[in-house]
Amino acid sequence: MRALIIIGFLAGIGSVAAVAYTTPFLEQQRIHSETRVVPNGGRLEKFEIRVEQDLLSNTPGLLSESMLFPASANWFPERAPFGGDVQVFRLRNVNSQVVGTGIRHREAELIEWVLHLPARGTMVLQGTNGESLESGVLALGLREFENLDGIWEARMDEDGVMRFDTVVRAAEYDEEAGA
Amino acid sequence: MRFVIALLVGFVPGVLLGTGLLLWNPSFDTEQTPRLADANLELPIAGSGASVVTRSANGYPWIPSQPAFAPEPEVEGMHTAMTVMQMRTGMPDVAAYGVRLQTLSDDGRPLFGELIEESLFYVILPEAGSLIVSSRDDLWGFARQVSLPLVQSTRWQGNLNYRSTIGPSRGYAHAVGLSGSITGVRGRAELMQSVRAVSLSDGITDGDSRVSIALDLPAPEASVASE
Repeated sequence: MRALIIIGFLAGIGSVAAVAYTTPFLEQQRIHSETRVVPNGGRLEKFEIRVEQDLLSNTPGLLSESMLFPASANWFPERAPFGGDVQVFRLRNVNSQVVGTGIRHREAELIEWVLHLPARGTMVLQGTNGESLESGVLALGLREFENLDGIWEARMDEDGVMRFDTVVRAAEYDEEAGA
Repeated sequence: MRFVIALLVGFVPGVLLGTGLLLWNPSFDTEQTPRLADANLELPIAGSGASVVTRSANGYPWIPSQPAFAPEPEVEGMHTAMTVMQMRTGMPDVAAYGVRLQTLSDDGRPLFGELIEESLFYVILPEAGSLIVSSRDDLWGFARQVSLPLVQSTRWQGNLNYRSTIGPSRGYAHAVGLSGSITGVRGRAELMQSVRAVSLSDGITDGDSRVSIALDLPAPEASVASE
């Protein structure tokens, strides 16, 4: 009988350990990345932002005439360290599923996008802003996008959707620099 | 029947002891002092010195939601919190600007005292440019000392000071300059948190957090912004 109590006791401790090992605090939603290989060897991935619907925040800078969003935000534009504006959007894949967050910092014709995909990593895209087209290069990649080179463009379509094409590939080895 | 009762007599104390060991294991204690001795930039991100512009925490259980937008089912699944903030830098009329994105990770295991959060912090500094801080934090100390007592009471008061950063690079967060005079400058960062009062409905009502950053700047530009 004593042996059974000891076995039960050890089983109790073991059960707690097993549950604490196998059970994470939460299950993050995993969405398959919709990528395809392009002929020159890069990896193409498309994203979308429904500009009005996906806007989470807009903070206009000293020289911007855009509207604060949300209107109730506690924003002091006179203390902003930028002249343009910074916006935060939900980021969607081509199937319109929300896969992350996009931060856009615009200063005149210069654009900086931070595309953050929580389960995968982050791309910092820098470039210039045209009438309805933004384009440039991958300035920095984190996690899945680390040590990649890339180009991107985003166009604003008439349906109010901004569509991104990003092409990334392994950074080429620079023999002269040795890196 | 006697055998089953004997097993249960052992099993129940085993479960209680196992749970106790898990929750009060002293080896899971978080660090209380900063490690980064050569920080050249300090940014308050909560409490005095930081002002929240707007915040959204749909589906994110640790921050009370102040939704600025209609919730969507997809967003619920992401468990990502966004905070837009202005931060004191020492310049009287200009504040640094930041967007912080926090996502609870499903990597952490309670067995090892891990409640992992991945965070990305995009910062625009006055007269310096923009930078990004990518951090991996362990919130187990907060969960054990603050969240657990909140199960019994709606308010918590105390004094919890801890260094939450555990990665992604050997116990430090990554910092990288993106534009301006700090373009391409790399460095390390850490997050220190101080919590004094928490309410179940309003979240942290009294506390401070700050990010310390040590950028590998060229010698003459040793300070980016001072407190």
